[in-house]
Amino acid sequence: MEMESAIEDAVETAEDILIRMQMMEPERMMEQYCQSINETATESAKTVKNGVLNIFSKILTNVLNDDLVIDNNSNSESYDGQNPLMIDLVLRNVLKYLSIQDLCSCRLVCKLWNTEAGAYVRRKHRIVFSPNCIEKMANFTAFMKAQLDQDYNEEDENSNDKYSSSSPTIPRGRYIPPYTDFSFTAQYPRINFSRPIVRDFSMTYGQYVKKLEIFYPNDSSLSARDFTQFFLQGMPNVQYIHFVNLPTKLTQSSFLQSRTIMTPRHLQNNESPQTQSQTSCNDYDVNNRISSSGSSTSSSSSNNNSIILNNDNTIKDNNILCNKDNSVVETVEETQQQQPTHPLCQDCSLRWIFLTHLKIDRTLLMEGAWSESFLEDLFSTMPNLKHYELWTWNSAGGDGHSNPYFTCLTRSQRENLVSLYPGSVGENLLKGLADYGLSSLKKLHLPVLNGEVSAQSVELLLMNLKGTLQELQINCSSMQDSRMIHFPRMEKLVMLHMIISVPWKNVYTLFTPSIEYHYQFPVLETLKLELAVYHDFGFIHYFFPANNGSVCRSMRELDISFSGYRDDKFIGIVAKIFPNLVKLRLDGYGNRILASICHYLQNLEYFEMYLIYGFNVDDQLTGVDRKICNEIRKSERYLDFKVDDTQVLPSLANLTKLSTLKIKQKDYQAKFWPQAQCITDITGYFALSKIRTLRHLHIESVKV
Amino acid sequence: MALVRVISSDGAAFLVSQRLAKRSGKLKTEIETFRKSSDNSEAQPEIRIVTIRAEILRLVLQWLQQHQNDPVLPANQNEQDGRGDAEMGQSQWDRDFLAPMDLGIVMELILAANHLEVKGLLDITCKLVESKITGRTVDEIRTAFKLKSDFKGNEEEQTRLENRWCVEN
Repeated sequence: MEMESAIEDAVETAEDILIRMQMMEPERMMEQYCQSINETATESAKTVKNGVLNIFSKILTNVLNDDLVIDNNSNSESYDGQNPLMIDLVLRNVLKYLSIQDLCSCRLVCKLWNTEAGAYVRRKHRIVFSPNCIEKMANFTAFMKAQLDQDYNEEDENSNDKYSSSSPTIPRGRYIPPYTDFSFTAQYPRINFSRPIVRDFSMTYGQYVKKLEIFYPNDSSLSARDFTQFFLQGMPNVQYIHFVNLPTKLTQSSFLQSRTIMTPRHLQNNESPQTQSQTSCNDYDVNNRISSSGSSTSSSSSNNNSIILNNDNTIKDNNILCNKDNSVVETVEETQQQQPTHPLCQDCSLRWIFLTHLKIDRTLLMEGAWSESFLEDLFSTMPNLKHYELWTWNSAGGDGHSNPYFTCLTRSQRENLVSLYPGSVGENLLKGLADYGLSSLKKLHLPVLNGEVSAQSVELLLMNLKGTLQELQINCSSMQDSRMIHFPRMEKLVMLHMIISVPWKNVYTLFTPSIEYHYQFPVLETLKLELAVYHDFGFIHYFFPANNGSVCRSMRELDISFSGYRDDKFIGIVAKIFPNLVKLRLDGYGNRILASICHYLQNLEYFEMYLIYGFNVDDQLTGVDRKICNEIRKSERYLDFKVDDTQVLPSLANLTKLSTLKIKQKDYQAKFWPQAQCITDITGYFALSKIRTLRHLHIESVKV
Repeated sequence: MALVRVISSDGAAFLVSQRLAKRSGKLKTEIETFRKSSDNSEAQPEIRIVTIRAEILRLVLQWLQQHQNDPVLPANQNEQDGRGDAEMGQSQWDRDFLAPMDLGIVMELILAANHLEVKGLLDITCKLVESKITGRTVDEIRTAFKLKSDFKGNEEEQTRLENRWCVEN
């Protein structure tokens, strides 16, 4: 019986293991991960290594031989009337977590599966184009062109029965391109994307691109004209952009001066000679650009070939995706004919109106700050920006580098921002943010506050945001007067993440008097603390005050990292003030702390911990006295010991609701002390196999 | 205790508490509709489920009974919510519950859970099916789940060509 249930457990977690199997060699996996060390394994194996291997071979056999039961009796016929896997909602539920490879197989099953699995593929798969494999892009474009053409032709013939539209977001009777997530990665300086090929791609497929990552090194060449043409006009429906880097030359001045107009796909033949002449001018200066843009403006206004997007911010209609749809282009042309030469009207086309997420990463290649005129142009293309993330390196004291990236935002962009991750922040910028009118902001991450930042500015910012903010990350380590921020009462705050990586010298006065969570943060569910408490052990008690009797029932999840702290008293306090805690992640602890967790926090459903060099945890995890553990190890006679007789301490098995357990190890420890701290078969046998609710087990250190 | 009579397609009647029955979205609606249309507030509702046979209905009720104290999961949980929902739902009991079933029964159970709007049961049964898909070829999937290809012309070939872009080279 024991064995049967162990095998069932194994099958349940088979998926987890399969995912890992895809990522590493089987033998390596066996060494690193262990599902559970059970009775049969310890019986049959004399060493832990064999035990682990044995268990894995069992699990794998179960997974691989788990043949599908194809039952031909009457029972299984009864779903022939309606196959549940032909109901879109059910199918979506089934396909939810499959890998790309499995999803690809599923796409080939039938049309409905193709639609549903295809949607997941579109969401998950990213295609990377780099200039050293331009062939790939050319092939891709050619392939997609053929698909789109074919569909375009078929559309008139049978527009009704194609792709029964189960999902409202998929336009009926149209070919649905499978990929929307692209990365343009010019990793090697001075190698350039072949312009005609990128241009071809962007005109053929650009309208379907929704996620875009652009990485051009500083000295690569991407002209303002190309940038506008390929990425802005060519990919008008982008929702998410991540600028890893742009070439310095491009970012030094305005780029919207050049009125380069792209030709829609169905009219593009006229322009091919011009394309070639453009290709020949690799290096060009501002004059060159203005003159060439001037000519193309005049030619475009005479031809009326441009794709102009409607400026209505509220557009969500997917028809806009289809620039093949002549009616859209025609209406647009009419609009343009009414005001053909008005410069603002031209500007209207140069927008990513669906763009909500922007990430700019300036940490990789930091020289050459982007100019204000470039940034102003860039932000003017994103009227609907909601989520903004910026990473820069500022000097230790200042924030001049980051400043323009915020001051260039428009007023309405600031008012509409929902999440803001401003990277490194100094005093000026922080004061600016407080005055910005960030009236919709829900998430704010301040991972780096530099030495200039004063507590007053942080307080002012928090005061201004207290009515809307739901998620706050703040690193108080290197602030000017590294001691006091008086938090306002934040009624909507759900997640608070505090990082204090440098020990504070002064008395901590973050919350005065000592914090009463239910008053200060009435809906707080998650608290993350990253602390360095080498010197002052009172710090823990500062966050978990013992005496004020405050109880916070909303708290569900606690994540604490600290070093060198061994006192377990605070665990009892945590249990008292957060009675509904179900999730705990602890990085750094002593044996007594672990024992206290097992004793006080028996409602935990999720527990993640790190093993630390120098401790033996068998007794803590199993509740069996250390001497007996040693005896068992010597005798290797596990079955002779009845758990009830030997268990004297609280053990992991006390956590009767635990469904996920992760036991991790620091990388450096694994490297330098491979034998340092491991889960042994004793723990497996006396603790892990007893937790019947366990669904996910992740162990990084197994003694082999 | 207020009761409700739930009748399967083959005529078997199950008497269950309304509190339990209301954990199914569908039964909840039916009970409320009955309340509104009935003059006698004491009358015992009777609900006929024409698509579900007794054996399956019994399993659904058995599952509901076991999970009657679980928090109710929102019916249309966001697909991007991550693994949380399925993970939380499945207990040792669920595993024992599903273990003896052949695939045909599981498929009927999925249909029933979908029809009766029992999110937790739908999750664990779908999860089981998902694990049967992992690593299979197209033909194996079709055979196992009795699915037929309805691709026309070169549609299948086109999809196959598209899939090639998912393999990094």
